[in-house]
Amino acid sequence: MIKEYSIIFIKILLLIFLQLIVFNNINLFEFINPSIYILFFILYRFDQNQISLLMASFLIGITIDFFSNTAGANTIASITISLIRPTIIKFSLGEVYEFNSILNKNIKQVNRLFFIFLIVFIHQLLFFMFEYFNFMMLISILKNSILNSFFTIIILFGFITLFDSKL
Amino acid sequence: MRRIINLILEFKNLFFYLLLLFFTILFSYNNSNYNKSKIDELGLSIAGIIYKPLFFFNSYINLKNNNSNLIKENKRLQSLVYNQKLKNEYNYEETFLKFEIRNASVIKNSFNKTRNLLIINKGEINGIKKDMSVISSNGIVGIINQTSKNFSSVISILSRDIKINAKLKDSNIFGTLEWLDFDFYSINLSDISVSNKINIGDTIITGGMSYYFPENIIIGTIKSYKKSKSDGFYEIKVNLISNMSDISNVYVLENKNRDEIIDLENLSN
Repeated sequence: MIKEYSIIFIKILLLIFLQLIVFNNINLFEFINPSIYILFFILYRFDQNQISLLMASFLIGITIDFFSNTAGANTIASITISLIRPTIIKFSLGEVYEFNSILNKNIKQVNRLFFIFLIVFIHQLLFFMFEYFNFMMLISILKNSILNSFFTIIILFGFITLFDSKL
Repeated sequence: MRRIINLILEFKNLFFYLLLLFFTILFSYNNSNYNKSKIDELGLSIAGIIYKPLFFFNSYINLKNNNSNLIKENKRLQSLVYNQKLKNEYNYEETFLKFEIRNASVIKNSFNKTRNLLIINKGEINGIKKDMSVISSNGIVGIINQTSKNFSSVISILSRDIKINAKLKDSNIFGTLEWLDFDFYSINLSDISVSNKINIGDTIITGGMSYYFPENIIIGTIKSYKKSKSDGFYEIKVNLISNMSDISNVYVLENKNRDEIIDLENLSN
């Protein structure tokens, strides 16, 4: 139990570190910064405790918010995505009782991509909604969330397929 | 009891989520002024809707009292107008037309906190904007802090965050009003040098040195004063004329020259 939680904690720290040091400073086309810490919500095992996922997402979100001056947007997006994750799993993968992780070999590549797309896009949409906090800016919100999701999905899908053969 | 516990256990994720959401909104409120103003605006419109029925009931109960107050004010204004005719009429228009006056009713009033707020029943659709000043028939009340579509909140002069320029009547001795004692009948006046002569009972009026309040609105009378030992200023306590716990009708003043004054200030800085 303690070993499991400490591994989760180290993963979180690593992701936060990567996000803050590397991926928050990419500024591709001046506004694209992929949020790679979403990898945690994708790789978290399906059969593990939901409460600890919520707690971990709060921890990740508030740390990244604190260091990148985004006033709660990352945290709200992260905890909301943790709450609705079981629904997304059911919607994208169908009957999931035989799988306990997205890395399971029996999951079709299309379903995997769809799952990643849903999590990343909903996360980014929520993030930019709270970042702008104004529905008059809907065009900017949509533009930013679509382009950022696109690049985040490319990077995350690359990550997952890269390490897939080992796991 | 068991059912309640079962319910909580069944929706434990949701409850935990709401708890975390609450913390996040708190974090966001404290970290961003823009989010703070948006959240305040939402709170203001909800509070306005809640207090409106209460306000109708109270206004009916206080009808008699309000009428007598209005008659009193009418009398005072009439005497002012009749006396004014003797003076130069051109001067009269010059000073008063700078301010546009709108009336409003108070639907929620607080006076026992360290930062007191009032909510009035006029908002953006009535042309109320941030930083306008609010007076009642008995003197100054405060400054508009936040507006929503139908309501506005007013920082009362009984608030630690507000400082008002004031002067002694019939002289040009200016000072600053601050609320330090948390007593809703009195307010403190500072920055008046000991070289000036003052007496207990002297009248304090607004100074007109800022773009908020026009000149010559009555504030109160001097209750007590003492000389400060450390610097050359008086520490003066002023009795407020307006009873801040009993305000129902207020007037919102819009300074038409405000933008011009602010532009000039920005240019000179």
